Amino acid sequence: MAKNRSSDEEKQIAILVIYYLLFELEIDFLALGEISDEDVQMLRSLKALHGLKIVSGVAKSGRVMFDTCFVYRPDKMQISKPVEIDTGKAERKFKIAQKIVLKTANNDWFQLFVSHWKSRRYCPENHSDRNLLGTRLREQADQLRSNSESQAYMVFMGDYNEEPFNAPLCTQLMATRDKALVMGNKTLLYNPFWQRLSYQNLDDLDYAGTYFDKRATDDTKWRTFDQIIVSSAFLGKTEWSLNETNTGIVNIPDYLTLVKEGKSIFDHLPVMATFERNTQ
Amino acid sequence: MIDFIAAYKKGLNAAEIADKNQREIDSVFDDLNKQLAAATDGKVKIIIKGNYMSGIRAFLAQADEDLKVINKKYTPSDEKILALNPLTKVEEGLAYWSQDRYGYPCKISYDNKVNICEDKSALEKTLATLLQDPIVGAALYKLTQGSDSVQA
Repeated sequence: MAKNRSSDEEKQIAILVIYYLLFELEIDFLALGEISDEDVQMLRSLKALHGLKIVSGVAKSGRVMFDTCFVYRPDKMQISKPVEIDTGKAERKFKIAQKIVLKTANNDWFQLFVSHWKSRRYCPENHSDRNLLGTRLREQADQLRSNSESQAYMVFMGDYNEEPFNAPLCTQLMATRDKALVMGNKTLLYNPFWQRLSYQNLDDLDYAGTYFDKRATDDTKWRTFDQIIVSSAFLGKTEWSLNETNTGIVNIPDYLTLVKEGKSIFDHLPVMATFERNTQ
Repeated sequence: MIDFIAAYKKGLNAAEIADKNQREIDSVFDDLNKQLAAATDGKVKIIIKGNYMSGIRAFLAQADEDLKVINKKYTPSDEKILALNPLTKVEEGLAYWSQDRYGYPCKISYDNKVNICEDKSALEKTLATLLQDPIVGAALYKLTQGSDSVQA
């Protein structure tokens, strides 16, 4: 199963970040990446997480490994077992996403696609295989739309190793910055992380993305690789809507320092999205 | 004016590609069946069959027991990969199958996996992985046992 790369100290830091997200920010559903079977067992052993449901997404599909874990509040929702979607081409295999169906306490259905696309180290930027990932993920959205009687609540989330402006996301997946356009064209997806490409605090110059590459020598050390993208159903006059004020990159001060120091395995900042149920 | 002749020619070209791809996909199943026939004394053959919606719930992506209702949200393709014992005519469902109008990509779905195959090599590997699945293995074993009892 997935290789366990972290030290005990690094595991402790990861646990503190998870606690911050779950208990300070009161997140209801948390998707974790780069997880091993051993990590899932460790999470299940934590007393603070008792009462929460922990679903392993660690799975092998041929030569690719899905390495995720999902933590959620069972009083707020139920989720299905993840379905692994991959694609094979020549001698290579690529993870597209894990699909999860989430049922809220009010019996509304969310379709989640959690992705961790191939690193640019192994499949460079602009390689045609990266476009294939976006195309195949887009087909999942199209399939859902054609099978749904009403507008589907779709959420695409994860580490795409692509920025919002890269073709696999903006052209192939059709995830745009233009909210007004998405509201009028239900085939498009809305990507709120177009707003997270630069420093959020220009005085502090705190962070300008979700992934920090300390070795980068080109135009930026920050990349916005981690994103949460939504279908148009969250933007209209429907039961659920995206709260953009509480959507974006999560800044945990000490953790940010750790990421920017670049001395540990931590190089990503968490991202979150908030969905509100309209009561009227 | 729209150039309908150019469109027509593109259609012919597309048909040629689709035909070539289909023959390649068929050849993969032919190779698989030759090997299976040799290994099982002709008791197992893999086929693709359409409109097979009844009795297939067990092959939907598996969710936790208490979440079966959620799984109804998954929409399976209406074609299945079946294992057939040509001697007894007994069939066992192995996976769902769907393919593009061009032949590729084709898609094999079983258990909680959706494997998309962009070419012959990927299809061969996915079928080999499918055969290694314990439930598929049990289904194939059942077919071979079935024909023994008929012969006896």
